[in-house]
Amino acid sequence: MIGIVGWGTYIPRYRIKTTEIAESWGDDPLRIKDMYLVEEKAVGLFDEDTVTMSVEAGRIAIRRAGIDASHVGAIFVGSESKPYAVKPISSILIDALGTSRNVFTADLEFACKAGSDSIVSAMGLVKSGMVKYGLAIGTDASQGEPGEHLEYSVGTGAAAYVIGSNNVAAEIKAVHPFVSDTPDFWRREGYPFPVHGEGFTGEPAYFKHVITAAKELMTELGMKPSDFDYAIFHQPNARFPLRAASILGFPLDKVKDGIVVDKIGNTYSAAALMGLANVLEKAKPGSKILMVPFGSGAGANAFYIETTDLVVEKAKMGKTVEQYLAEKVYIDYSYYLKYRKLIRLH
Amino acid sequence: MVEQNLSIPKYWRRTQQYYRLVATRCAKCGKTYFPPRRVCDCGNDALDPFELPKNGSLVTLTVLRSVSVDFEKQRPLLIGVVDLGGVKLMGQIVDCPSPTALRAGTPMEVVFRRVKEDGEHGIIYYGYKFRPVKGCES
Ligand SMILES: [Zn+2]
Repeated sequence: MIGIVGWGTYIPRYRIKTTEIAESWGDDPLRIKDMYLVEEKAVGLFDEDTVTMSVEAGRIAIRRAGIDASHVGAIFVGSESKPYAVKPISSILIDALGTSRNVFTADLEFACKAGSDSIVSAMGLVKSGMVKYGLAIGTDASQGEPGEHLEYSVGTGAAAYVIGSNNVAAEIKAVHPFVSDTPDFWRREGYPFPVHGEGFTGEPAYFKHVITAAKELMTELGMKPSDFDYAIFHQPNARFPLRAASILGFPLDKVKDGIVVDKIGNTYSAAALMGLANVLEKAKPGSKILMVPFGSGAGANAFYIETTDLVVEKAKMGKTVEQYLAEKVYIDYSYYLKYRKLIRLH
Repeated sequence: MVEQNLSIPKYWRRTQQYYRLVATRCAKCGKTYFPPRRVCDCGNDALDPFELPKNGSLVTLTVLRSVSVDFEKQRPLLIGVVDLGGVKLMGQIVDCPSPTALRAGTPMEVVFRRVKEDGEHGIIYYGYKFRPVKGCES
């Protein structure tokens, strides 16, 4: 049995309400809230980045796994907002988490999908017997250009998963990819803010890839939406996963626990993985979960995951998403600009 | 406290200490050292490395409004002394915009943060800081 042995998340403590941002730019606050269904988003302080958040989430994941850090044989980090263009996050984690030095390490990028590709990569090494445990992380601290709509949803966070075959809290029974060259969203090297491809966001990108990956996985398994207890989708806003659920035929009560974007914003590579953490922290043993992370460019991985008897006990072994959501300090737009380094400081 | 004026090699040699709070304990008399030492006051040179606990309590703090040029844009800077399992450490306190809520005994946790960066093109230094476990509303 290969699956999730431990998991951990990190959400910064500061929050800004989307209405506060809207008021700063003269948008109608209620219209913005209704458009994205994002109430507030997590704001990393100036000393937080994808390295620091990976360390925090990774420490919790290893604790929940109940293993010694020296047993981790692989570390993969999926991110599109690395502090260095060249210098890996994963090697800093070796020393910050105290693993051995004989660890397969790499940072992966596929817009918001790479966190889930880290899980797939770790699964492969565990399944082949090359490593005992792999640590897979999705993290982002991306930026939206001030005054542009992306700013309403872009959040900050990390989610880490220890993948292995002993003491599994949730078995990953199948993964199914669906990828095509789609110009929906990109960021050129050296440019701080991403750009949307006019006419390609939404239908031809997110919905096509998420729905197809989910449908093909269910066909392959001979399963239907009513066989699942939870469905989790990538969440650039809360409207998209709700719509994906309704297209596929999942009722609201099966998707709501997997949606956290309304409280922390879009954490990109961590987004669906954060939803999964919240679900694992609430799920009963034997729960069947469909998870479909998506990344622009564009592709989706559809996962079929089933919790074991250990899930309840492991949920109690570390800080939960719900605890992070409750610990917050609101800031106004001027502090937001300062904390996110959106004003140029010399 | 993570030192601010270190060269890259000097900093790199201390990453275990700055990243994971690795201290040493004398195998003979049990005395602990952070920063870690190789030889104990008792003369014994068999010291075992161990990680300090990541939770502790606040001993004292001070608010700095006049700071070095690297930290000017982070003012006011909160510097505190935190007791981690009997070892007292000085460090920056973050995630607390209203320090009046903090007092001796407030539960604190260790966080991993950026400490400093060498301009826009240089290396980023990471290390430990502290924050109140339960937020900082009074
Ligand atoms: Zn001694």
